[in-house]
Amino acid sequence: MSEEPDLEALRREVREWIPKNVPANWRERQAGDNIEGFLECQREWLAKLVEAGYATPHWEHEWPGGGRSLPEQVVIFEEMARGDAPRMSLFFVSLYHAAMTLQECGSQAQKEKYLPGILRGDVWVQGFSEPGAGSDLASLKTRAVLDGDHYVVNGQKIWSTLGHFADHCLLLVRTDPDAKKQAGITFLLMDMKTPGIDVRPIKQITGDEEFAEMFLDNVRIPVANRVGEENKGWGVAQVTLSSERGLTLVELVERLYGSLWRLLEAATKGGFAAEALDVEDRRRIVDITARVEALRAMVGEAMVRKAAGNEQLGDASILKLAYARILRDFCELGMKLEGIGSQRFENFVLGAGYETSNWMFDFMNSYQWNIAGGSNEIQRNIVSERMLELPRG
Amino acid sequence: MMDIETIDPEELRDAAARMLGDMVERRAPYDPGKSADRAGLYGAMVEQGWLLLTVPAEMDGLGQSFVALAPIYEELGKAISPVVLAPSLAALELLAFNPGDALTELAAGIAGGEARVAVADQGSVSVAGGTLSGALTGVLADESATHLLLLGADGQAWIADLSAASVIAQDSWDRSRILHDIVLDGVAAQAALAAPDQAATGRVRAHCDLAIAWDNAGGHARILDETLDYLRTRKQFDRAIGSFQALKHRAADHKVDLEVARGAARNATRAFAAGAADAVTVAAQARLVTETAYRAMAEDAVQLHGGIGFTWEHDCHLFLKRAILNELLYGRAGERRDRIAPAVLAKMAQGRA
Repeated sequence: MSEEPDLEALRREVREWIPKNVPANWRERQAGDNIEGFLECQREWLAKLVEAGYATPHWEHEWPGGGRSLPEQVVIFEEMARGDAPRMSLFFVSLYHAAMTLQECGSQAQKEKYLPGILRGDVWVQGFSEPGAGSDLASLKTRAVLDGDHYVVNGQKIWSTLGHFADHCLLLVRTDPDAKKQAGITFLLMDMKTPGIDVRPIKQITGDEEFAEMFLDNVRIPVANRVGEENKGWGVAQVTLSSERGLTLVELVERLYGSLWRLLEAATKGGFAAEALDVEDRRRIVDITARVEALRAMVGEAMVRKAAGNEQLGDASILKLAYARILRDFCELGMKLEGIGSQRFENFVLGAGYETSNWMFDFMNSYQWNIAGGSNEIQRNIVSERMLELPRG
Repeated sequence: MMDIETIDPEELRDAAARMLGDMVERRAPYDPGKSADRAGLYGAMVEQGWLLLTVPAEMDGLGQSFVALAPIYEELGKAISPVVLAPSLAALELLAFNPGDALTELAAGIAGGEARVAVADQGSVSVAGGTLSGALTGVLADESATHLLLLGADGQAWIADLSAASVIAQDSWDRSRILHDIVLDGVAAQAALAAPDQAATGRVRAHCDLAIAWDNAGGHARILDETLDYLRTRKQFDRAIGSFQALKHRAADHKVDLEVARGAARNATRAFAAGAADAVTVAAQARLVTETAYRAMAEDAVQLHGGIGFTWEHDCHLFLKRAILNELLYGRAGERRDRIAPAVLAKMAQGRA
């Protein structure tokens, strides 16, 4: 497909910029037992991106590189994936979830207080899920009680991405326990240095500690840190959850597409020639390649629809489910192609995405996508009930 | 060259859906005392100009790309059309290369509706002194196919008049499609191309693959819709069975697979229309993705309908039979994967920059 001239120019610009600016040896520096290296590398990368205006193309005009159209943002994400730049793991919630929530729902004072800090590298986390409120998020129980000009918060949050490095938290609390569940929720901004917050990293099946749980014990949060009105936090949370506008998938699918060669590498690691591949394995490679290419085309088309305002109900769920299945199958195939070699423990790279050629790690890590951001089961409910109009149970 | 106006594919789709809705009684081949009016339907397709769509403008055709055919093929799949157009239209692909006189003449016949083509790989057919000898089995063609387009492995292609061959229509499980056994005993043949060209014959095969891919996507969409209707209305334990999560999640998975399949078909259609270097591979891949998804849907439709889905009276088996036949046309699925594997692996290796 030929592209608009200005998109093509942007694509060229980003493509030239990446190799000159990607932190050198980032894979080595972000290796799993080197947290300091990961943090340092991510900060260095954010500074570069901010300087070039590639960190905030989705922000308003007055910000560096801001005011870009959705197709332009897609180009930037595609090129970052194609150029094998590190993902923005540490700052993604800050740049998207926090910033978009503040820009759309925050007060002027909140915008002025927090947005510049995001560009300087403040890390934000989401404090939404709870042990008892996963798929059924609106049943959250963390309680906030007004005490003068502060809310006093008690409860427990979980699955906060990189919460142990966070400076601020987007927090959902229950302010009215008697209202219908969505109607009693308030949205707060919590400074992670406030007394009473205990953050504990969660060790995942990979051994990585990407998520954290947070225990909140009489944490005092100023009323000035409330976003929107009291008990109207559910609507604000919807803005937070839709803030990345499908760009994550653009990046992830592009990275998956750009990683297809890794299957060949896995199959030939022991010195085998590609021609010596087992017939069945070759056929599996043909199939997974076909599905990845189809998915890539779908994501491209979905973003065109979104940019034109023609997004359809369920589009996002279909893409998420399709990617989840294809990603898992891709990782599983790589693992099987590498054979017993895939079972030797190797240190993983933090924030490298799902395709690191550390196949057992990638395979286990791919479960994350099946659960986070609305589990596969919730997505199937959305597709079947809202899109296919099957009756609710 | 004269300006060619691009016809809106969605307009073609609407027209096709209307016409097929009026003319195709999908149960006709299955019900006693009825049969499909294939000649009438073919005539209507000719009248609608479908056979002219991809004929070049300089041959008084409409000069459209495959993009115009895609919605028609998809609607044919939805309707379980008893008429097959793809082999004739695929033969027209050769016009873009270095056609011999026999091909130009055949193309004029296809465009006018008089000539109908069966496409087959050479297999064990031998070519000697301008004649073809040997037997072909399971060849998909319209009941009144007039010509055979035989594709060699080396880029050769021959055209033979079928009136000089023994052509026997076999009963198929899928009664919407007719398979033929063809015996050639020194049947005169002419070269379709002035010189052998693998790119040309590859394009004919890819056209067939893509047509089947869209047939799959169309059939998949239709049987999914009909299964959803059943899930919404069939009650057991005092509730619509579609409200059971075990069933609705299966339906959601089929919808996801359908969308991936359509994505593959659209992607391949764009590549094919643009003449992309990997268009043949991508078309074969699109067919693989769509056929796997369609068959899974058609199989599960029988199960999701329960006992009624297992009856002759119900239409589930029409889709199941079509899905399975589609999967077996022009070579087994494994062989088709093997055929494109070298190109797929080569492309992957390029990604390792």
